[in-house]
Amino acid sequence: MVPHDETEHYSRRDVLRTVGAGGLVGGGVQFAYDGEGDDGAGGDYPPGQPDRGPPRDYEDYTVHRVPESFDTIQAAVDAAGPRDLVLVGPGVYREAVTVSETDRLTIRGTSRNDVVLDGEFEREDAFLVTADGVVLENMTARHYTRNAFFWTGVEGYRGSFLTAHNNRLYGVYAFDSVHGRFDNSYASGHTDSGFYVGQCEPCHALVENVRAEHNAVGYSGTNAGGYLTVRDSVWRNNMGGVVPNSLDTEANPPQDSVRIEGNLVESNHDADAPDSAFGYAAFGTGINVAGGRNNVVVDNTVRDHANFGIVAVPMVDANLYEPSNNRFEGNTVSGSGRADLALGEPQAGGNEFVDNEAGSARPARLNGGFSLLAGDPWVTLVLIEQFLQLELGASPRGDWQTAPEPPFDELEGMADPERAPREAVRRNGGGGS
Amino acid sequence: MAGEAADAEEFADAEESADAEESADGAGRGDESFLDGILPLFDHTHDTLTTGLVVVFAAVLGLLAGWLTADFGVRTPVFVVAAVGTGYLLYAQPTGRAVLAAGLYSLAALLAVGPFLYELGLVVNVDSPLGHVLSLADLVLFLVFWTVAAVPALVANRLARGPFLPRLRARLGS
Repeated sequence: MVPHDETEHYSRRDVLRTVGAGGLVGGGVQFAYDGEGDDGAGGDYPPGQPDRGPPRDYEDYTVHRVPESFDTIQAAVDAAGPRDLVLVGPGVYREAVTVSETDRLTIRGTSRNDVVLDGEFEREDAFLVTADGVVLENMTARHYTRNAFFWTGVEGYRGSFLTAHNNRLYGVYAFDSVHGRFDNSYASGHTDSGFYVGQCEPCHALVENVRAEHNAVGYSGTNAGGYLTVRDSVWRNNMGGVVPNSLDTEANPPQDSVRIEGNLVESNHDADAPDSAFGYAAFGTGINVAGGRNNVVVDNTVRDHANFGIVAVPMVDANLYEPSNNRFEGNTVSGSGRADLALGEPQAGGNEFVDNEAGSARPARLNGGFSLLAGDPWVTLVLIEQFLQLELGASPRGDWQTAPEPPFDELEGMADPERAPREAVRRNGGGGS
Repeated sequence: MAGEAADAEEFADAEESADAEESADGAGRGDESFLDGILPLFDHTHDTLTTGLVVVFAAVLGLLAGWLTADFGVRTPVFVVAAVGTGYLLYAQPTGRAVLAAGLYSLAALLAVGPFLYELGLVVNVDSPLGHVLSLADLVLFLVFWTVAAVPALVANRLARGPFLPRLRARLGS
């Protein structure tokens, strides 16, 4: 690694800005990952992102320090070139940062809890990223009227050691983007979801070791699937927990092929969580496959939900999306108010509940054995009634501005914030984890 | 006027029909079944069609009751109790018509309590239940269930008590 003075790359950066703009235009183009699929469930792409090697260090980069060399993060971003590192020191930064022209940039805080971007309930996004391969690490964003960390239309993205709280819409958010990863991050107090991966197929993305609390939905993945894994994370005290879903308002419905594995999903029935769009429809559900197909839900611990622990239901938008060919296996589900395992009617068949440890099910014997019903209309009724209540504006909800703050002392930062910047995700080979 | 005459005639026919069935059932009282010989639950027996109707209703009502209460983990015992209980009550009816009417009344009653059971399933599992159950959406739910329940209830009422209009007019004294 060869860190440089921050002034010596201006001409190169200007050239690469043009390349970056070209990359932005081509952002919707997807290319195949050369890893192997793991457990295809019948979709066009397997659910589950194969393990990739760790992202590789950039060897030639410049460090741009804020506030030592630049007063604002945006100024440092504007001065940076591809593969550079914008290193932000402790402080409250009252700004909204846009990264639209510099690919493969890393913006990193030196202290996760002490580097804070504050929207003051006026600015829209803490970070709006439309350049490819941009990495955001080790900082906190709060009080924005849209999103905290937002990538859209990019190839390559990563958010690590991020804290997003009390922003109006989403916490850590990737839309129409591929080849990405969220890890070691926290999100609370959002009226849509804490973590969101939407409108991508295949996504080639991984969400792991994150934690979402007091959001309308912990994880939402609208029309997102194919090489997509959500694993080893904690989804707690949201209105709804983990909700892959199909909607006509985004491209490529229905949602298809996500792997949800090894998560702790508990007590997602927080009626005081903020909500604006979707949360109450999923109220009291742990893992809720809403109109999705070919998903694999395995080895999760799901407990203490007012309605259903693990459920698959039809999704009604401009079209009706019936869940189909989803596999729920090896999950431990307990303490659900209505049923630990549930499958709503109508459903399009092929939904399998196998070897789950659960105390109750709707319809009966969903987890094995003869059942009179393939799906249970009561399950759908519950969620339709809640959706109607939400639509009528009569559902309970809290205020995103006053939702509980994160447990900062539990949120670990990067071990070495001064380390070299790395690529967003490793895309060409590289085994291991 | 012609309509009134038709309704009155239909009412009379219904009563005659019910009397005739009751008479037929009464005639069978002397022919005790094997079950009655062992366990004399009833002082009458029904023909095969009526007995089948009782069985079907008992099964349907048991399944419905079990379905409505599945949120509380009592699906199987409720099915057994509801099926046996309604089977007994229905078989105790004197005529096939009365069996049908009682079965439909039972169906309507179960549907009517459906939204209460629905709400109860959430009320017992959340901290502040009123915000969840006192909304327009809940009112719509009740109206839907009760509208559906009204159908078998009205059919049962018609079967049990005859046409509506003559009775209504009799009540009104016209």
